[in-house]
Amino acid sequence: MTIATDFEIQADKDIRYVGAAHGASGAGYYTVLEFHRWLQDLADDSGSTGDDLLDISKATPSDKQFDTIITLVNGYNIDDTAAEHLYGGSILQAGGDVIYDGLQVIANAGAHVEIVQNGALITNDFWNSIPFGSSTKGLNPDTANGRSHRFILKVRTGGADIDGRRLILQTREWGKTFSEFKINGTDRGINVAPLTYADDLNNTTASGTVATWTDVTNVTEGYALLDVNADTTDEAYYSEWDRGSRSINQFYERAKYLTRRGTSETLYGLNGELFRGITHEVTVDTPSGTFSAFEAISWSGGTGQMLAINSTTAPTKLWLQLLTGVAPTDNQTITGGTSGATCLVNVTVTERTLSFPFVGISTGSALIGAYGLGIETADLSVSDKLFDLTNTQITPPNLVTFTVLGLVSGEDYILVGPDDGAGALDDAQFTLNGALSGGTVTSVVVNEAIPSDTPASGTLRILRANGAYSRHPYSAYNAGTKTFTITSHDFSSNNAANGTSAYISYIDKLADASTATFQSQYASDRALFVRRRDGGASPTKTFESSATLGSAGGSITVQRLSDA
Amino acid sequence: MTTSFPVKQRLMMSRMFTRILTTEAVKSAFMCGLGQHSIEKLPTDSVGTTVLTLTNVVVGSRYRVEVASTGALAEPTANATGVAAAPTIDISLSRYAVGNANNDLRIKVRKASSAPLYQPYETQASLSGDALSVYIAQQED
Repeated sequence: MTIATDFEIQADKDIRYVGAAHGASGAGYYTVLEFHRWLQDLADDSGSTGDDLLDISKATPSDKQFDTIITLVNGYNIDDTAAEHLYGGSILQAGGDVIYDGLQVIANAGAHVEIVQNGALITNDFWNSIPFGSSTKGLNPDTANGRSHRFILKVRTGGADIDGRRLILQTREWGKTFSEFKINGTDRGINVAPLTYADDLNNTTASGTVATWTDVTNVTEGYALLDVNADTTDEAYYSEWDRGSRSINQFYERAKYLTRRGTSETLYGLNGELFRGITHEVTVDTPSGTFSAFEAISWSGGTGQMLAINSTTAPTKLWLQLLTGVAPTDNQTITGGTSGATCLVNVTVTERTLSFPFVGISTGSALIGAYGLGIETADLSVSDKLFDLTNTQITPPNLVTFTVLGLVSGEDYILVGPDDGAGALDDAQFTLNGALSGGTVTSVVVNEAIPSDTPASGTLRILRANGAYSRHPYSAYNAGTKTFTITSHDFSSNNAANGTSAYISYIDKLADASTATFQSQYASDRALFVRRRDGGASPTKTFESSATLGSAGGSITVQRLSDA
Repeated sequence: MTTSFPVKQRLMMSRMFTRILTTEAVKSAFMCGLGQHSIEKLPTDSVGTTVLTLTNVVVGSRYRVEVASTGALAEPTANATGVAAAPTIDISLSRYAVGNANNDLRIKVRKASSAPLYQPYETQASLSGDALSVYIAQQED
């Protein structure tokens, strides 16, 4: 087919596409220059022929400023269907009241490109059609030059730009890398959008399988305080994800699943396909009303989805994903769409960098988190990196585990304590700062610094007056005051004298499984003393040994020699 | 001798004779000795011809001279459109009484079917009793 047969020019100057549909044999696609040339070729004819009512007796139909900018003049016009068969530049008509701008995607062949315009996905994604005879998506590709799609898109109508001619082009295909390119106002001619479309080596699980991973949840949608680096000071995030039973890479895959093309999932009130994360941090003041934890917001010149606010009643900062228009500016009023609450922008609006997908980058075994993304501390390892809402990199502590193996449940009593460096138990790890003689003692103060690798909770052994070390669970400790908080205990008899000994018993229990473990935050290698005893019906000789808890953890397998 | 029918023209002639034409278009009378011949015409009738010369036309361009207000070909229509065989084109066109809109012309020159291609050129001109020359400044497209 030719341009002459694919288009017709009607008496009312409407130029319409009458050729084959996308994907059908003979479907025609032409550059805007070819289109202009065809019109001009008709315009110098002595008389009209066929269905093209244009000749020298008619007004000039088009004007070319550059090969990529064609203006239809004197009332000549195309419609959206005709525009789908043009590429390689811009078409202006109606005195500039209607503009179709050219787009060119740089991506691997076959990429499925989504376009968000005015806060919504364009549903008629004709540019993803598979040309007749091809096996890959993408109209008018130029694979030799890495161009997967070439087309034009309406960006102005009725004399008004559609959301400032802003477009977001994105790829969100399962198993492929996610990417995005934002055009902050198309220009006349060809607007180039580079996207990535390649196999994601960290996203190889079938989508049907990932669909079942519903134990991955966002415990807190909104402002969340977490002490990820265990420095006793919380950092602020806009989420608190729980990866459930999944690995960190499976968490990454689940996040892609929630935001992939075709998802029906919702994040922060937005369809997952539109969810991008925080685009702007806004300093605010003069609040009125109570904001929701997250909600749609608006201001003069734009709309957004608020993803976090540091106080719903007295906020000083909020974080949003821009949806339409431009970010708010100083002294503009921001209004909550659900709450009706308001606040004013207080000077500072900071644009933040997005990640694709929204959770960040997976290395396969660790996550480099996106700006503001929070994950439960128990779900993180020292290899993960998060960035809090101040955009500070936060590294989780190195939580290491010591494991005792080879136990017999219900028979072996296992004690793991500090080693004195000579292969014996260091039962004087601490000395008491003050006697314990009360009837309901809950605090034990020691003279020595409590090591930073001390588990947050565990058991403490304290030397009593009768020479025995009693076992006391503790639920917390304060390194600053050198105080353990223990379960209330009566020390009124057989008290513990000031200066008497105490030590942390890292594992101190009757085995209830074949293994026993404890976890602590690694600071430096810790020498441990391990003792196992079983004097029961099938007695075994005492097993004692030294062991080391290193940066990668540690373990020991106990021996069980019969003492019968 | 005076005319007794509506006329389109009034002519002044030196010969003194009378001729009565029975057509509806012209009735002329010659007065002996006065050499006066008068023909009356309609206001919309042509009052003569003027040569419109287009210069600097790209050979092969199609030209069209039309009445600016209506878009209709200027008269005579056979002269008003064609393809330039030379850079200079002399076009004999009907001229009308002063104030007649048919004197106001639009001149179109287009060449876009074969290389080199040119942008459409349009200009306007008004006919008078004098010959008229219009310079055509076509630009390559």
